[in-house]
Amino acid sequence: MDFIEALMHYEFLQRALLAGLLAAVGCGLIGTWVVVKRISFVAGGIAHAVLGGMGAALFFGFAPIAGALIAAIVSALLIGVISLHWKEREDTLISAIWAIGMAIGILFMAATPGYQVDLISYLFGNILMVSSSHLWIMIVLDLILAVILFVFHRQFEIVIFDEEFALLRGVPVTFFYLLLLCLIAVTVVLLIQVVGLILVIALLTLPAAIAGQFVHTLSKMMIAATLIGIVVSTSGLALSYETDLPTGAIITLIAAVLYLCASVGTAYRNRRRKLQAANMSGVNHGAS
Amino acid sequence: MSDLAVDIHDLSFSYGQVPVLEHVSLQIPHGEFVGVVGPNGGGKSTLIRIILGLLQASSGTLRVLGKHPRKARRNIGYVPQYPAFERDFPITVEQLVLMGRLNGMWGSYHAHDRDIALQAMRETEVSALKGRTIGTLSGGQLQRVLVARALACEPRMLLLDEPTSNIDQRVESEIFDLLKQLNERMTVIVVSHDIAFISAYVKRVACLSGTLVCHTTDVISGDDIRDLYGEDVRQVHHGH
Repeated sequence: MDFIEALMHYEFLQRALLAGLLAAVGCGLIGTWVVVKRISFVAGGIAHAVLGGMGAALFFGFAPIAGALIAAIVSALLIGVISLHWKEREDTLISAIWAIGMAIGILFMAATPGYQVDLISYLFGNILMVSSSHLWIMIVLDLILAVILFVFHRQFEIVIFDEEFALLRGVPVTFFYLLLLCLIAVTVVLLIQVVGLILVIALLTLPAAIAGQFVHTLSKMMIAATLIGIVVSTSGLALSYETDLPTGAIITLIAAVLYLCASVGTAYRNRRRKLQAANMSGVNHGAS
Repeated sequence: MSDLAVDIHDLSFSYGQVPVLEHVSLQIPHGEFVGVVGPNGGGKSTLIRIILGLLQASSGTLRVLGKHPRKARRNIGYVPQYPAFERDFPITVEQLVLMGRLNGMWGSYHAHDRDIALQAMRETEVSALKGRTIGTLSGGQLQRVLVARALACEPRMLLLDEPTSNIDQRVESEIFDLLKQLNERMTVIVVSHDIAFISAYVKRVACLSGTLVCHTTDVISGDDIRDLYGEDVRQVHHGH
């Protein structure tokens, strides 16, 4: 049975497909800002600290996604305050939070009976196990991201582009920086179910980085990154179904291959343009 | 309202234990075109940041446009030292200029803001570039775009920090011609390390070297410059 046929038959595949699309929206919208502001390391710290919250939620018997959301927001704010006040120690402190979050998560999971299956699916994702209630949560989170970005697009733009000028225009720079990190946290939670937290960074950065090579405004980049994310997650799902290989890893590698192709293509295009420009000026010199 | 655009009295500032500005006093009336010059590390950028309310002076008094600097800064068009941001940032010229229309926490751009931005781009002769991304601009074009953004704030005073440090001399004079024209309707303060060049344009020069401020409306002599820089620099001699 090929993928399209299976998609008609199996509800779990339809849910997986939908989860991929919803994740693509989040990674397109927020990944663009992560790439442009160059804070994928910060996003990585947030993603890994989330495991602590998920472990705690499991241990205390809450829904893991609620724990993940709380842990993500707390670690985003913590990392934000660190990067604002201890700039010179930023990388050390973020690495520490990165590791501490995971350590806490693993301890809690070890103390909870029957944890093994869950740990692997948090680390690497399990898109085939997405429930319909989880899909609803993803829809709500996507909507929250879209509304906040729509309302504050201009403010985020000026804060990310030129902090000093933003301050002079009376835009609360710290508030918007922390808000952006919280949005990244929400996106990480969105993506965890699809690719797992180890692979989250790939989906958060690669589609936006690919888009950035072809379009040159933030709004176009967000749209293009979303579309690329949709292509990557859908083709990844299809390929992993056909080959019976883990979906999260396949999705990540497809994104990586596309990024590589786009980078090589852009480098080639730039080189040709340079050569053409050099030739043109050579002709002009010859004429004069 | 005070008739001084900037009124600085006995102002000092230090980074930790290192004094940067000591007992600086400077009065700039409305409508002036003032050049702030001095050697690198002389505290020029620090002074600008204090006037903008981005840094707090450790002692002394300061009024900008008759107000506390934090309250005055929305009436100031600021052109930062180039380049203060990533050149490959995905943003068009028009979007960058429109940033001057933002005000506070809320709001987006309306037709009225776009008109003002367009007017500012026309004035600095960059309206033809408005759809271009900033990465494709030359140094001189980008500088004009930054001036347009400052004008879009509808400022009463323009403050420029080394506006021509990365562009060639011909473009530099074009920028200063533009500033001279803008000076007909607003106060202009320009920071530069190049006293020889700017003294041909500005009405007054304030020389800043940490502890010392001399400001003069008279001809600047070679002796003054030797005192300030500790050595001979390009000679300045021109009548006012």
